[in-house]
This record gives sequence, C-alpha cells and structure tokens, in this order.
Amino acid sequence: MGDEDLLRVSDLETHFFSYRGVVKAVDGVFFNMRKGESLGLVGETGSGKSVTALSIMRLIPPPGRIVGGKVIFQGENLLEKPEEEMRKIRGKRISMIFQDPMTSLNPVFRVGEQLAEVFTQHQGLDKKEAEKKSVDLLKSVGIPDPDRRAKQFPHQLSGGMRQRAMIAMALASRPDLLIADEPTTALDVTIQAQILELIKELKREVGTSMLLITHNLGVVAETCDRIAIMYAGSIVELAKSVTLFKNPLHPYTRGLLDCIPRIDAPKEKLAVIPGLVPDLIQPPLGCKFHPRCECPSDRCSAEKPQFLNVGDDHWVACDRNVGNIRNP
Amino acid sequence: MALWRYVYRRLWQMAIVLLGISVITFVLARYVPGDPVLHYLGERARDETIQRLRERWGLDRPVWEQYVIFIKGLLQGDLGTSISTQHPVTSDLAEFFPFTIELATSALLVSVVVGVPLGVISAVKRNKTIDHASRIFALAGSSTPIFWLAIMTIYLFYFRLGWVPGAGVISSHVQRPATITGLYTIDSLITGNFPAFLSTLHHLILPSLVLGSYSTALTTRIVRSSMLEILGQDYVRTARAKGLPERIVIYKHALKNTLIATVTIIGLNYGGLLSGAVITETVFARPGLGTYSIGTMLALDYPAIVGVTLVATIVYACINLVVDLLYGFLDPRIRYG
Amino acid sequence: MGEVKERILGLRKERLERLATLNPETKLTLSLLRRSPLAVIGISMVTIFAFIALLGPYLAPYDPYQLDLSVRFSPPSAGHWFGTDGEGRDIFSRVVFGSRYSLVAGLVPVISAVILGVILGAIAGFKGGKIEDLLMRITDMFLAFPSTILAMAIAAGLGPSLENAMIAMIAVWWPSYARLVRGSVLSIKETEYVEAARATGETDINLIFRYVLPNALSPIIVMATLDIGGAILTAAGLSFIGLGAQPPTPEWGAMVNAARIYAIEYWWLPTFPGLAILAVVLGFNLFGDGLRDALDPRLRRI
Repeated sequence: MGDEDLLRVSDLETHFFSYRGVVKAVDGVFFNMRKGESLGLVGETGSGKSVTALSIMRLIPPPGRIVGGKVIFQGENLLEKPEEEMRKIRGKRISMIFQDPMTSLNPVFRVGEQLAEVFTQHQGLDKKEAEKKSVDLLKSVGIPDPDRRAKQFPHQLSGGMRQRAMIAMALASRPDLLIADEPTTALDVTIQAQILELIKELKREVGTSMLLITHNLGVVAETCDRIAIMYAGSIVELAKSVTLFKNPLHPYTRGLLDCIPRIDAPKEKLAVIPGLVPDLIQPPLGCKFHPRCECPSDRCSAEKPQFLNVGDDHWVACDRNVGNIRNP
Repeated sequence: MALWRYVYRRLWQMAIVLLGISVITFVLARYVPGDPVLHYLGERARDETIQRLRERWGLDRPVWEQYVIFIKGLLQGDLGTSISTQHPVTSDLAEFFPFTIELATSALLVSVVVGVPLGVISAVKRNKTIDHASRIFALAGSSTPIFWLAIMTIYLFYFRLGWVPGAGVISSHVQRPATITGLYTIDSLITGNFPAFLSTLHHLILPSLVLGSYSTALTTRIVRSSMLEILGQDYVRTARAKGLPERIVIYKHALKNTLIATVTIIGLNYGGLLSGAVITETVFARPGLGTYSIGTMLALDYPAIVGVTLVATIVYACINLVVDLLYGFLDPRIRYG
Repeated sequence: MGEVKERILGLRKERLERLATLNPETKLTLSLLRRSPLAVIGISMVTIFAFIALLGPYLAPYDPYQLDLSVRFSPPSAGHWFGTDGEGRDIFSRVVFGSRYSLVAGLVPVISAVILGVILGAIAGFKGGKIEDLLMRITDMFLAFPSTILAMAIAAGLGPSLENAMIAMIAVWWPSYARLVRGSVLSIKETEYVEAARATGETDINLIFRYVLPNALSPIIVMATLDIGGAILTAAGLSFIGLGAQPPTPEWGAMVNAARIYAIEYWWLPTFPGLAILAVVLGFNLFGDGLRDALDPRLRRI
C-alpha cells in the first residue's frame, strides 16, 4: 500500500456493547483506496459493511464504539481528529448516501432546503445563492422540473427521484470520497440501473472516489475497479474485479460466486453455502469461516488467518493459500 | 386538496361524536338512580306537589319526547334551569366557565413552557444528571394527587411564606374588570385595568402551577421519548453525515418533528386539565365550573349536571379539533398529501 | 367419551409445547426487568403496601374508628406517630387501614375495565363489520368526555360511595382497552399463522385465546399497570370532592378532604394521607415504567 492512497483502513475494530454481550461488528478490517477508483465492499447482511462505512465517517451511535485501528484519509488519521474537524470533513470531503431515501430525508423540510444546507454549511453561501445552486444540482442529477421539485417535500417525490436528490446532496461539495451504502437496494430494478448509471457518470465528472457497499455481486461487477469481500466483520479477500471473478481464492468468495445461477449452464439445484452466519458475540475460534468451509485444515480452527498479499494486489485471509504467498 | 379533505373528515367525525355525547349525557341524567324531584322536595312532600313539579320539569313525558325537547332546547341554546341556583343553566355557565378556561389554559401554558424544553434537554443529554433529575421530577409529578399538592403548597407559599394569595380569583379591594369575554386576564388588559390584571395573575400563579404539575410531568415524558425516537431516525443520521453542527441537527431537524408529534398531546392534556380544574378550584376557593359542578352534582341538579358535562365535553372536543387541524397544517405529509 | 378425553389431553400437550416456546421470551423479559432497578423499586413499594393492607389490623396500634376527644388535634408524637385528627382518632392507624381502600380502588376498576374492554375489543376486532363500527363509535363517544368529569357525573348520579366511584371509573376506562385490543386483534388477524389456523378449522374462540390474546397482552399489561396509579388518584380525588368514600371511612382522599379546613393550623392532618397516596402511586408508576421499558421491543435491542 503506497502513500498516494486516498484512504487506508488498518485493523479497524468497532464493537457494540449490548445486554447480551459485546458484538464485534467490525473485527480487524484492512483495505485501501486510491484516488479516483471505485471499491466495492460486498458481504451478506450482518457482515459489518455498513458499520465499516459509518466508522470511517465516525457516525457510530452508542452503544457502539470504535475501539481500535486507524483510518488514514489523505494522510490524516480520522479516528484521532476532534469532532469539530470531523464535521468539516463530513459532507464536504467525504459524503455518504444511504439505503432508504424515504427515511433518510427529513419529511418536514422541503427537498431544496435540505440540499441548500450543504452549500450554506460548507461553502458559506447565503440562503438565496444556496437555493439557486440546489435547483441547478437537482437538474444535473436528472430530475425534471427542478424548480417545482425543490419546493416539494420528500414524500411528494418518487423513490428514484429521492435517491437522485440524495446523490445530489452528497456530491454538492464535490467530495474526494463518496460512500454509497446499498444505494439501489430499496429501488425498483429498472430504477436501479438508472441510478447506477448516474453515479458512474457523476463520479467521472467530479473525479470522486467511491466506496460502494452492497450485497449484490452483479452491481459491483459493473461499477467497481476493485472488490473487497467481507465476512463476519473482516475482509477475507480483496482484488481487482476481473481477478476476483476469474480467480477467487477464498472459499467464501468461491461459494458466493457459485451461488449465482447462470443462464447458460444446465439447470441444476441451486448451490448454497452450508451453515449459518456466525454469532458476532462469540465467533468461532481461528478463521471465522472455517465451520462452513469446504476444505478446512487443522490450522483454520486454531489460528486467525492473516490478510496477506498473494501477488498483483490480490489479498486473501486464508491459510489454505499460504503456499501462494509472495513478498509484497 | 388533501388538507381540506382532512378538515372535512374531522368536522364530520365531530358532529357524530357530539350527537353521541348528547345521547349519553341525556341517558346519564335520566336513568341513574335517584329521583331529582324527591331529592329536591324531600321525602315528606305531598303527592300533588310532587306531581306538579314533575310536570313542570317535564319528567312525566315519554323518554324519547324528553330527549327531543332536550335537543330542541340545546339547539336554541337553552339548557334548562338549574334547580340549585334557579338561574338558566346557560347563564350560570357563562358566568363560571370562563374562570375555568382561564385556569386550565394557564396550566396548559405552564406545562408546555416547562415540559417541552425539559423533555428535549432530557433526551439530548440522555442518562446524564439532568436527564435523571427531570425523570424523577416527571415521575413525582404524575404520582402526586393534585388536591394534596394544592393544600401543601397553599400552606407553604401562602401561610408560611406569604408569596401568593391562598384563595380567590382577584383581590377584594381591586376593581373587577368589565365583562367582555369573562376572562379576567383578557378583560383587564383590554380595558387597561392594570391593577386587576396584576392581581388576577397573582392569584393564578399557584393554582396554575399545581394544576399544571400533572400535565407538565406527562408532557416531559412524552417529549423525551418522542425526541429519543426521532434522534434515532435515518434522517438525523443524514443530517450529521452532511457535516451539520450538532445544534442544527437537534434544534432544527429533530425538534421540528418532535414538536409536530407533541401537538396532539396538548389537546389530550386539556381534558385532564378541565377535570383537574374542578379539584383545584375547590381547594383555592375560585369560582368556576369546578365549584359549580360539585355543588350541582351533590344536589342532583340534572339540568346543571347535563349542562356542565355537555359544555365541558364540547370545549374538549373543540380543542382537540383545533389541535388536530393544527397538526394537519403543520405536518407536510398531511398538508401536501 | 374417549374422544373428548383425547382432545383435552391433546390440547394440554399443545399448551405445554407453546409454553416452552414462550419461555425464552418470558425469560428475557424477567431478566430485563431485573436489570431495571426502577421496576424493582416500584414493585417492592407496591408489595410493601400490599402487606400493609393485608396485615392492617395487626400493624395499626389503634382502632381507626375509635374516638378519643381528649387527644384531638395532637401533633405527631411517640404515642401517635402521625398525630390525631379532629375526633381524636389515630392518623397512623387510619392511614394503615386506608391502604386497603386505595389498593382496592386502584385494582378493581382497572382489572374490570381491562376484562370488559378486552372482551368487547376482541369481539369488535374479530367480527368486524357493523358490530365493530358500532362498538368503535361508542368508544369514540366515551373517549370524547374528559374522563374525570364523566366519572364525577356518573358517581354523582349513582350516589356518593366508594363502590359507585369504582363503577364510574370502570365505565370511563373500558373504552381505551377496547380500542387497544381491537387494534391488536386487527393486526394479528391478518398474520399468516392465524390464517393457517383458521384453515385447519379452529373455532373463533380458540383463535382468540391461543393466538390473539397472548400477543396483545403486553401493551395491555403496560397500560394497566400505569392506569392503576391513575385509578388510585382518581378514587382519592372523587373521595376528596365527596363523591367517593364517605367519612368516617379512613380512605385517604376523604381524610384529606376532612383535613382541609384545619390544614393551616394542624399541618399533619392532610400531610400523611396525601404522602401515602403519593407513595403507592409512585410505586405503581415506577413498576409500570420499568415494565414498559422491558416489554417494548424497540427499546429491548440495546
């Protein structure tokens, strides 16, 4: 990992302290992002993807707490910054869009006003200028009749329009990093494609890097340069998209890819990964995936595997691939 | 227009409810045990006197006819004559009701002015000292019998400390304001009678605080839980993700939603305040619906009982209607449905 | 005959199985309740008062009705912990005996209102149609009245006594429970497992008892425990006005009423009965709050 990285996350740990015990939602996450690239963070529900994103933004609500690690953004460790400075970064240098645009927009304020807030807060514009720029912004994300829409309330817009408005809000300050947490999951399939296109285009235009979080491998295949697979709080594999699909090394990744039914293959029973997602309060010892793995060795149940570079920027956390280690 | 549909629907609901209220009140008055005539005349009255009085009060007609008479009178604004005071019930009510409204409304103001900020701060500084203190206060407030609180506070603040008067609506040596609305505070302001205004306020302080104690406690708890719920919502997270300062997140984004939700509680509170006013007026020896209703209820004064219940309920229903309409106006999801 | 016996045994076995599945839920509730110190304090206070009420005659040093004009208006002392009233009666003994009236006045109306409301609400929710509409209109009308004023009117009409005050309170309180239950029934009615049960030919009554009620139970319990405090306050209030318990009954509200005119000179007359009311209601409120926090599925997670 080089110094020209936009974002470098090392050994991030975020725990939730609940009645039943400590939930280790993020348990040692390592990844990096370069300027201008798209990284897809893929995993099942509960794997810790959203918590990772919220940890980067330092928006973890109690009873959660970031308990360890570093988040180096443009050379500075975000975890050590005072809250005042984080506020200057949020919405301006790092922006986030969320899964459900209906609940993520304030129902009692007009759409235009909510957009204008970003301008007044980060660019110091006065109300009138901010509102004018909001309308322009709505137009640029493809919302027809933006003047009228800006004066409306969120419930008066369709799902797709709301998500466009959220994207507009996130890109208003031309951030260096955009985190998109399942931006299309709550939308109709036809709208999904449009929104993805919009995100890709704007990304190109504004030059922002993107961390795209999703459980849908199809989405990342289209939009991301690199993909990170996350399982039970840790990243188990990280590689360029093409490499990942052609040569998946981690058994979990292989399992995920096998689960995708193919149109061109003969019809057979759908493949599944046997077993259940582990309990994050008391995860299995050693490699957290080993109870479900097809080829575990003795080491897998005893030691947690290290996240190592096996060549060509392809990282895996699996002892079975020990033989493939080459010096980074 | 979504708003007009909403208004129309509420008005229609209210009409039906009013009808039902009139039936229930009527049934209440006529069918509970106890013969008002005997009660009034005493057991030893002669049969012919009893009969004559029955006729005069219309109690010998069939029930449904009595109801029709009742409704007809109602629509003409006639509630009959009070057995105890011998005045028309409507004029009795016109004389006494404004005092109760004055008291209940000022108690409502107290509960809003104290309860809402307290609830908000409590939610924002959750589990810190001020939160615990306000929760204890709210708990104590909703457990205290108002009549007892009234007596205790009169003893402390009037008898011991002499800060406030212990009874009455206005000092005896102050000139009463001219009767325009019947509300001393408003009337004295309108007519420029400042001594009356100040004296009325002075007499209102303790009763309002006492009467308002229960609803303040209630308001605090509800605002707190509402605010806590809203602070956990996605759009608050979005506001923070935009980098907005915390005070804008709380006092702009979260607060507006909380206030809209709280408005409806205010309406419901008013019913409790009207009821509580009965007790408060008794203890503070203030004229009003309370003292009037107690006297008439113990005397089985049917026209008065019916009148009081009906008017109190209508006022309560009106306030709730206004609150609901206000809510529809404030919540953009209803206004621009 | 054997068929019936088989059916009963079968139902019993199913009930046990159902209890086994309920158990983790109830266990969690109980443990959460333990974790809420307020609820524990609350229920301790309530239990203390319950004991006082039950053991009244043994705890009270004097007969609550016994007059002794030679010691009237005595301030609190070693012989009379709470002092004596205008007739020389020991206030402490009267407060102890008064706990019975208040607890009864709190529990009986609420429990009756719950039962009445649950029955009517379940019928309304289940049958639907005109019956439901009629019942809902009736509850709307009852709820339109400011509750205490309506209670006063009813109590006045029936004649001043504690029993009539309780009847009045039942009449005023049942609509809230009816609405609550109806709402629960409506939402549960639409769930799939009820539809499945219906498809297998379950009778309506069976459906109500086995599926609907257990799920509607927790909001009812929360509402009821919080209402008990309110009922005690209302009963005391009605007695204070003169529409409830009548003197010389040692009911706390009536005692405060009798003490009112003497309050300035003899402060102990109204103070102790009122404090007792405060304490009991506080206990029930604490318990109700803790219960609500424990049972609220949203608050449970964290």
